[in-house]
Amino acid sequence: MWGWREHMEPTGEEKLITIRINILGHLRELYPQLGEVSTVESESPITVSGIIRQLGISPRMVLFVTGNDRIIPKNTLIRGSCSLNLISPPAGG
Amino acid sequence: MLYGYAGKILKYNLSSAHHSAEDIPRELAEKYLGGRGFIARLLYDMLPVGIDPLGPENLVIIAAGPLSGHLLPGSGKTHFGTLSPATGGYGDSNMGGHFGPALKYAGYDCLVLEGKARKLSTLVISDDRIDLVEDEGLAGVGAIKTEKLLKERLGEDYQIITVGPGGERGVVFSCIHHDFGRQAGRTGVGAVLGSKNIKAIAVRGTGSLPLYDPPGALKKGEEMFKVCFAKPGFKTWTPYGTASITGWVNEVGAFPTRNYQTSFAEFHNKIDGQAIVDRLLVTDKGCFCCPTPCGKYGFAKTELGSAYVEGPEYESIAILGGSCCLEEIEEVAYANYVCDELGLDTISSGVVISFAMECFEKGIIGKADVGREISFGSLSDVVYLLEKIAARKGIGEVLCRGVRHAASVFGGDSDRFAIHVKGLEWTGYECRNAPGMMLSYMTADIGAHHNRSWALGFDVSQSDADVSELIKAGGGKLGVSSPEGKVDHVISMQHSRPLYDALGICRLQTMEIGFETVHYEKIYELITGNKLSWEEMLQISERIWHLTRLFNSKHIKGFGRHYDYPPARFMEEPVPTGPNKGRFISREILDQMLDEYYEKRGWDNNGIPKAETLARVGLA
Repeated sequence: MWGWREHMEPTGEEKLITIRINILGHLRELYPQLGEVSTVESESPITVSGIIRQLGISPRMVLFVTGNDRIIPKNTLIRGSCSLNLISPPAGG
Repeated sequence: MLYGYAGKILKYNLSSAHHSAEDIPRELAEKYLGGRGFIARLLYDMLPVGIDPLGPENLVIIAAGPLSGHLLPGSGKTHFGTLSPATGGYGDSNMGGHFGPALKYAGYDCLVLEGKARKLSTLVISDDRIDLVEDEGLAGVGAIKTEKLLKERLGEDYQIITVGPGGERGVVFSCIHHDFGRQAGRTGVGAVLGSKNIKAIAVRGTGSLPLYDPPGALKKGEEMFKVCFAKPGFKTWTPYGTASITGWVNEVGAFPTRNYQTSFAEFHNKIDGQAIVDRLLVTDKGCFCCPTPCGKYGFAKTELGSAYVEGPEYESIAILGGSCCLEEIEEVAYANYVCDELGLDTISSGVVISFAMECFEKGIIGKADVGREISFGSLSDVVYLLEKIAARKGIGEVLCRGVRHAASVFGGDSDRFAIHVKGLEWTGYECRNAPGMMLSYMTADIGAHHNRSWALGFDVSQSDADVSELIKAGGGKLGVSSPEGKVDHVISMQHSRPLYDALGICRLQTMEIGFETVHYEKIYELITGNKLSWEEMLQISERIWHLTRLFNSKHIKGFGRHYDYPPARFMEEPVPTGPNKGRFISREILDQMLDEYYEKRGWDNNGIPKAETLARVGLA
């Protein structure tokens, strides 16, 4: 379920934000312990970079982040439960 | 019967115009799979020592893999191998498109070309009919134009590879062209084909391939496509292709700029994937059975002319854009087009030209040598030098032999910034803060190429510092990106990445959208009837790695450790600007990494495989 745009303004209703993270491509070679899908939970709004760091991934290794077929800047504040895709750099052809 | 394979090696002697089709030995298929594996084994066994790479004794081997031509994602790869005229050692290169599948449908997994045709010719293969057609009228015709002419002459159902004027004239970094924009670019495979008086090879295949479990393979292949389409990264990867990495490489300070003087280009956002989409793109273009078409076919208009061109891919952007400093995507695309038509590798061409520009800037060569003034950032100068190189006229006669040779002619201290390993020009990643990637380039079997091991991600993933921290840390140290642990990672990648080249498939589905290797295990079994785990396939890839090292020690006189170092620039000159300002990796650290690498490989201190290692991997 996608939610960042809907939750740009906090509703005050959501107690726990659950972010489902799809880890793609070369990132899965570098962080095999995370598997294909991980989940981050936060009791307060959190930036995309913060989510990446919580997973133990260097934000510098993430080429870009997408959700709902759109690119989401890493400094975006996530205020509601949603699903994000971490796209790694093309890894050498 | 060898399920999955066409089952034959076609050997064609161009001097006598005789050919034979031999059964593929089961042991060859089981020990080397196909593609790069076949090429390494056959070259090692068939090539005599001490030959001229551009003489008739050299071979060109074209090979598909066991998975090539079957219905699964990315099964369109074709591999080319030879004794490289650029390095004097093992040379191979691969391309996408449709040629390999067509070769298999014609009945051959592998084509071995020997000797030299009497006149410039096209080899035409239509199933079991094989004709060597002399056509001197194609002399000097561009590689793309030649493909178009032959398609019109023979029909659209032929898959065609061509060489351009560079290949005809022996430019050592000439490529093989196919499908109006795909190239086997590296190690001079086009020069060797041209030296045999072969302008083109056209293949039409109407046969089918034997499958061990036809319904199972078809069902699994369909499933694999569905898995690819369902990957969350599918929609985000395809729009930009490999050029999407341009901004990121600058962000981490690895973008080769001004002949690798520095590693960050201020203008990078004018030549990146978004610039292609906004200013060039006509349509996406994919290879045989590709679910994720990374090719970007576009139209570029410049002051020198306009052209339709596939690309530029990231590597061409990095070298023609970054290293030669062409600051507009149209200029990069046009230079890419000129390279394609002349049949020159964009990577080596760009490195050679940016080297000449730096030599001119430093006064090592002058107007009398070049024929005019040249400078970084000039499309006109880039095209001028490309045409000189392809014609082998003036300074082109020096540059056409590669950057290592040019440095030996120009003298001064130019060898310090002749950017190559083993004679093969460096590709699109500056490594003065990336020890894993540096080691990858140093130890790649063909020379400074990135696709054997792409360890830059590993280097960066271990560095969580922002730009200001990197700059504050100062030069000459490895405070952020440590060499520790890099050797194991590089060795692992040197087995996994080239494995795709032995299977005859594209690795981008795995690397970019996370397609799981377990699918390849299963479909390999359903197609061939052989059960191999991915780990067992990696062991085969390791065997091939040791074999290509043996090939180099056999064919390069005095081969050893000293062939594994980068140019002095990377060991002694701190990066002057950008995120990695002040950084370099000293020779002492590189020696430590090489020592560890050789030990873990089972090679001696000079980098030669030990007898017990060869016995362990089945090469004794």
